[in-house]
Amino acid sequence: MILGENLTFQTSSGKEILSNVSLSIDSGTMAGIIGKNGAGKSTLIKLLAGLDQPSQGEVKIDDRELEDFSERELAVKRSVLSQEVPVSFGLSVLDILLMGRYPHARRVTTEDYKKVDFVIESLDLGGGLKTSYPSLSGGERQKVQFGRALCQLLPLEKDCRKVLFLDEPLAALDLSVQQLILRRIRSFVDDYGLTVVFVLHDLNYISRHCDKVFLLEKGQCMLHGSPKDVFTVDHLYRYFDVNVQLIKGAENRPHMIFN
Amino acid sequence: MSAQQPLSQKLHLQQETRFLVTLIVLGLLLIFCTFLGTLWGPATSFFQALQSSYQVFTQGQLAQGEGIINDLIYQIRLPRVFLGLIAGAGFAVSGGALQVLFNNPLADSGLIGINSGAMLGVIFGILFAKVFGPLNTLMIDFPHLFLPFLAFLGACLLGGLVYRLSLNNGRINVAIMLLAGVAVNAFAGAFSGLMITTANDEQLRTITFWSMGSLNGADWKIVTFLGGIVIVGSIALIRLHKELDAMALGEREALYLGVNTDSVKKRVLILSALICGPIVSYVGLIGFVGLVVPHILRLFLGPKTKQLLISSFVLGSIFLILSDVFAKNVITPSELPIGIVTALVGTPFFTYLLLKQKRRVG
Repeated sequence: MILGENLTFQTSSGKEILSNVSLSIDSGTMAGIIGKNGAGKSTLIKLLAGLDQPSQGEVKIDDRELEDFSERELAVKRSVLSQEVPVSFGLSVLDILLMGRYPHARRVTTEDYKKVDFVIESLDLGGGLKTSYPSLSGGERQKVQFGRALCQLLPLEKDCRKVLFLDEPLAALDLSVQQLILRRIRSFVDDYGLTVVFVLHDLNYISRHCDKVFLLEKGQCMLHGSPKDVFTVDHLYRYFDVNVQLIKGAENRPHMIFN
Repeated sequence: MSAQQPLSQKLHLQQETRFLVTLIVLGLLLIFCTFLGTLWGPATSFFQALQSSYQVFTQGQLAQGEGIINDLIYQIRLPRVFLGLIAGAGFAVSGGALQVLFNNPLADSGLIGINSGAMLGVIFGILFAKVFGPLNTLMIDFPHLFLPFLAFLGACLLGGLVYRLSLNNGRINVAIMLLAGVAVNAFAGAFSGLMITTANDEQLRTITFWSMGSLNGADWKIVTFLGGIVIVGSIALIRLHKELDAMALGEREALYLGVNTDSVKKRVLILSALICGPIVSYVGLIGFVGLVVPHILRLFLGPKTKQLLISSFVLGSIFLILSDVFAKNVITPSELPIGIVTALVGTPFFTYLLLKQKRRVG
């Protein structure tokens, strides 16, 4: 379980990006963080993932404060897929995947290679392992980074209590890559009880898959609840300035049609 | 067995094999260069040197050449070659590590203020040791440690200053780092000029010869001391290879991977100051080795830090030994400052590589 209590974050120049945000996300569920640009979504992810420390408040994963984790302990507990990872040197795809095993052991063993092979197969990366990463297209790069995040989380077994954070991972990607990544995430949640926290612009995907939605505006959490509670015509007009038509999608979840 | 071997492991082993082959070739080249540097001098032609190298290989010693020639070889030439080997290796390894750390192929110990900090330390030592009593005692008691230690302090000071200046919200801002490096280097140049105005004739001559860079005056004591520092420092840097690999993804991703990036940054900077400070204090400002050597190797071997740093150690040695051979033999019986040779040879080659790379990128 991920718990954020009264999270406040100020930049060094004193600007308050997040004020007093509290949230809880159960293990084995998917949570979506939504809001307009500049609402503080990415900052919230960074605090929850332990990249930045909150100015006030605290984050707990499985009842343990984030500050009590060593870097390595935290790295085998959660991994993060960022929006974009630029690399200036020509590391190969394989080099980058293998980095995911860094927090696990000083020496890479055959077991580690087997795990990397598993990820290569499930993301269909086998063809271009020697390719230099900077020469790849945006979509392929993101697939590789997703693979690295998975390599970092393995081994996964049932009720694994591990967390995957994704910070707008699909911006400017092909539909096919988007679908591949999202399908894999869904299956890891179903099969292993992975906990997933998203920042995603695709509200319909959030509505379809997430158990809980948090809506941020100007650094504050304005709404949280099930997709049914959050995605109403009224809310979407108030917080996103859009007129939508709602229809019932799969599992009776709201599906938005933007006019 | 091989059928069960994971695909990723097989590919990884292929990579390692190619690296080992390269390393063996470089190693052989280094041995050859050591002989060449030792035996080729004003009195012997290139072919005589080759012939003597062959004799040493087959018979274990030089056929003729008793007494004075042996002294020349073992007390003057060989220490000089080893000093070049050590200095080249140290500059190249620290340059390679700094490039990965800053995620920028332009970085080396010169750019981020380490070399000019060492320069300030040395000039300060030369000028003021005789003036202050305590400093004077230190210099007389530890003649081999005195200037290297001051150089190390200066390197830490200015390297640390550039690092502090380039921190932005706790992260290194590379653009600011480059500008801070330029500013700190300019300041160090001006300040050393200011200090030199107080120098007397003898001090002025010492400083001038030192600052042009030379492997002259090497002896076994210097070689052992400097060799110890450079080897220990280089091993410590190479041991950070996994952390540095992760830093190539940027600091944020390295943190997510569980790397303590603050500690890595500090360690790389201090180790670079430890390696380059003392080298600079003995051989002067020899530029370009730390920049060019890792860059060349990255083009051939790829950017894996472990392979890059180990091969930089060897190729850096080769580069400096060859430059010294050139400096000694091109205008005999006089000789060129080695810093001039590294820049003269290095710049065109580097430019050529850049152009080639530019064409490839498109």
